[in-house]
Amino acid sequence: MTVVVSWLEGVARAARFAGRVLAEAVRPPFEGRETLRHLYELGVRSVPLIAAAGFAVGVVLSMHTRSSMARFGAEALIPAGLAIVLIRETGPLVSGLLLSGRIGAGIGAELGAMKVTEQIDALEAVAVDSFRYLVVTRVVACVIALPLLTTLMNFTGLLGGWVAEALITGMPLGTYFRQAFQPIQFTDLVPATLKTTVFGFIIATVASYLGVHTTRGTEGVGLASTRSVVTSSILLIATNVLLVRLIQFVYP
Amino acid sequence: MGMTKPAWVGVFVLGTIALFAAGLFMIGDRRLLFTGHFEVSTTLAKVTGLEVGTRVRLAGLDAGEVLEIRVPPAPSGRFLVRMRVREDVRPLVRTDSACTIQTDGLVGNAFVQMSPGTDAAPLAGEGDVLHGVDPIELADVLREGRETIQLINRRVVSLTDEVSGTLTSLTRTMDTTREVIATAGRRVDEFGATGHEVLTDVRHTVGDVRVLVERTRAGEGTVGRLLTDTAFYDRLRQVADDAAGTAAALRETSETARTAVNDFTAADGAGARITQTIRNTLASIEEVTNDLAEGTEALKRNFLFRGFFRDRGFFDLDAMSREAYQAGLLERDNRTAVRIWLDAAVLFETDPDGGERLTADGRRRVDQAMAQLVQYPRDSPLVVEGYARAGDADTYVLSSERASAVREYLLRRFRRATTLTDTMPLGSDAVGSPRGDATWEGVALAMFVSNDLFRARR
Amino acid sequence: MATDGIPAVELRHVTKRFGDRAVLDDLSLAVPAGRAVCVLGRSGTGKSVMLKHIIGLMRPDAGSVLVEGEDVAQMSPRDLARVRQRMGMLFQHAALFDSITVGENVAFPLRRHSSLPAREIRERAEALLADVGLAGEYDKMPADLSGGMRKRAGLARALALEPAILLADEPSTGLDPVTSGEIDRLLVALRDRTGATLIVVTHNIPSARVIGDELVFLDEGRIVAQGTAGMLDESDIPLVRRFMQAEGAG
Repeated sequence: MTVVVSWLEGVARAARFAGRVLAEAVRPPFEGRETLRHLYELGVRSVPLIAAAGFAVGVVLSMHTRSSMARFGAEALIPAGLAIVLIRETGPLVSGLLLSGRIGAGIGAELGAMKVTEQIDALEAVAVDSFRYLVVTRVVACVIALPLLTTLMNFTGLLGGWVAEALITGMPLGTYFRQAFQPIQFTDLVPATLKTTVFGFIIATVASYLGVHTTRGTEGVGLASTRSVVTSSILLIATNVLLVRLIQFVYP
Repeated sequence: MGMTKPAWVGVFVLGTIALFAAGLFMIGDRRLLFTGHFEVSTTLAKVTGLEVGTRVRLAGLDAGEVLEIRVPPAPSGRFLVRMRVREDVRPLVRTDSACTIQTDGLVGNAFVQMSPGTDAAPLAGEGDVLHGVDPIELADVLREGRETIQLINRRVVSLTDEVSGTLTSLTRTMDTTREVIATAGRRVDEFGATGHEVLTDVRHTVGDVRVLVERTRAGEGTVGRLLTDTAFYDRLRQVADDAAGTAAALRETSETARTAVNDFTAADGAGARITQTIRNTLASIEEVTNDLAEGTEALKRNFLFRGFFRDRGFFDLDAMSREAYQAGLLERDNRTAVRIWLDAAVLFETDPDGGERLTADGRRRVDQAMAQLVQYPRDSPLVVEGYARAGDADTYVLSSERASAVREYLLRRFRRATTLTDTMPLGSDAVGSPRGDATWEGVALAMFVSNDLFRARR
Repeated sequence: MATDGIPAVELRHVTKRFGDRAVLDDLSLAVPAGRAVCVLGRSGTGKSVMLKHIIGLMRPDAGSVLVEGEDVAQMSPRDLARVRQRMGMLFQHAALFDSITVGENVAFPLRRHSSLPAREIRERAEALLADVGLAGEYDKMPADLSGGMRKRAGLARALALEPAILLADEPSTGLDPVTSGEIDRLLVALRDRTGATLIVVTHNIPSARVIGDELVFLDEGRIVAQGTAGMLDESDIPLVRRFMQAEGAG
């Protein structure tokens, strides 16, 4: 019983934390420099991971769609099929999960370490709002970076699909992309990409929350990092279900 | 590495935004947001698979998309489908262009197929409503297919009746001919033989047609399952039409024959002229009968029926090469050939015009042979293999004649099913003959029975 | 700002509990402006917690914490930031921001709270580093410094905004006697130069003797002895006397 109560209290605290992030994020002054720094750390430095993963996913999906499409003699639909799968769901979700690993663990560990070495207190002591300086900047950077990285993954995914296709049929790149975008609507691309801002918010907020509330020294830092990844991944997948439903509701 | 972190962030943000924008542009470009376009509409009773954004194709060219589907105010009304069409295809869109819904392949997306109009018709204007052709749905296709099959059944049945009628009249004609010949003397006698042959052929053919009808009837379910190919109907229709045409021609010919024979009986004295007429008439009967045989063969070879026939264990020796037969194609599926060799010396005599005829002894010899085969089920396929001496110019023809003569006898005497009794002229190539030198003069009755049964009877 | 008569820092009946344990138990202390107070006591007696209350990192469960007459615990974030800019704090483990260089650490408060141009900030930071004997270490990362250097860098950062009140949490703990002595001298020199109020938590008695005008002895969240080093040497509390005699206890 007390376990449930304390768990619920934890959820409430996390929710309040998230609410505070939202409230503080829109209020100036903005920590532009710090946000830029995180955009570099979280965004630019995730580019190789996302690009490589996207490419691999594209190749693999293309091979899979080929084998099933070939059964119906519908090889011509491979680029379009890959594009739909990638842009609507796979791109956003895979980037979200990969980044919850990379970014979530990073933020959790970094803030956790800052917490246990009193750097957060030190920030406060020099009259800096640590919440705005550490948490809001990361969340904002993450919210900006996610859709951009998702776009990158979509692109490298299609590129991978093209390579897999070109190796078999020698299709030119331009033709591939034109065919791929054949069935894509704005309502496929825009909501699916923008929904990753929510993923970004979840990843950074969960990781920050767990990082800032780290206790028990170095051991706690590792714990915060692990829990960041697990919690944000699960939350991300669950939220995705709601978001997809919502998008389908708004754009039937 | 001269780049600072903010510079990298700039590259990252601008680069990915550019990619996103490129994606948006590709969609927008396809949706004609950046090119000239105009709007037309069409009305359809059904909008299966259609939604906003569905592609519009003009003569196969990607030409635009569906903007809106307006629901009719009443059930009797038609959906109004508004479409955005590329400006550059405008010269092809005329007031008599028509729109219909089509599907890409078996599993593909629906799209609106817009047909180009005729040159004479004026250009379609902004907002014009084009004629909409309602899509044929698979269910409709199936229903139509069923109707087609029933139609074919009816036609084939009536065709059979016609052929039977023709046969009767032919028989009468032949009888009359024979009478005439008998009275007219030996000179015309040879034509009697030809007439007899023609008669046999016709009877054979009619038998085949009857079997065909039975099969089509029995196979309706099987056929119905395969109705996914519209080209198939056309072929079936063609075959049925051919058969009907042939029957008409046959009837006409027999009419002529009868008239001719009547003339012959009416005006004796003009023997030579009339003999010539009979000869011609009979020749054309032969020709027409061949047509009919070909028509029904075509039907049998139709891929659909072929599969059906094979499923039922029917064999089609006409479609089988000698090599395939000799390689044992019929001995697959656990079947063994039980072969009885019959010598030509016992069976045949040469009739006056050089043809092979079964003698009375020959008939008895065949009866004896069949007595050994009655222990096997009646529906076992029986092939009469014809053999003749090598070296003769007409080895093949002779072997064919011998086999046909025996088959004919078997059909008559033992009432064997035509479909299960066939001939296979093998010339001089008698592998496994009792003579031991792989030659044979005569025929071999080969019955194909299941291995289990064969072993049990041994 | 340090109005005469108003203590620079005053704790009134401050109580702080962690769970069932009272870390600060009805603690009252007033530190007049310009005075150097050393807070002594065994480990875990609430000395660091007291410092964190003064700079507003912790709020008391009961009582109030006044800095120059204003209650830190009741302040708006904006006021708290203003008050904090008048204070500097040296953390026990220096707590340098490890993602930026040593110099940037020192420049950090200036960058945040002064409108000086970047060049001048850098010069000031370099001067501050030179003051603590770290000239030329500007571009090193904190992880590359030794413990003593880090602490000195932390001190430089704490001094960056020329605080009226300097809080130091065990400035000499874990350092060799020489380095420890240097830090003590730096603190004394600072007070002599700026007249800042010093509150130093330590268990290094020699340091306390050098720095402190007044020594405060905490035990179980209460002040058990208060006075000059001489007075504490003569204390009738055995623990305090033992503590004062354990020279060099670190």
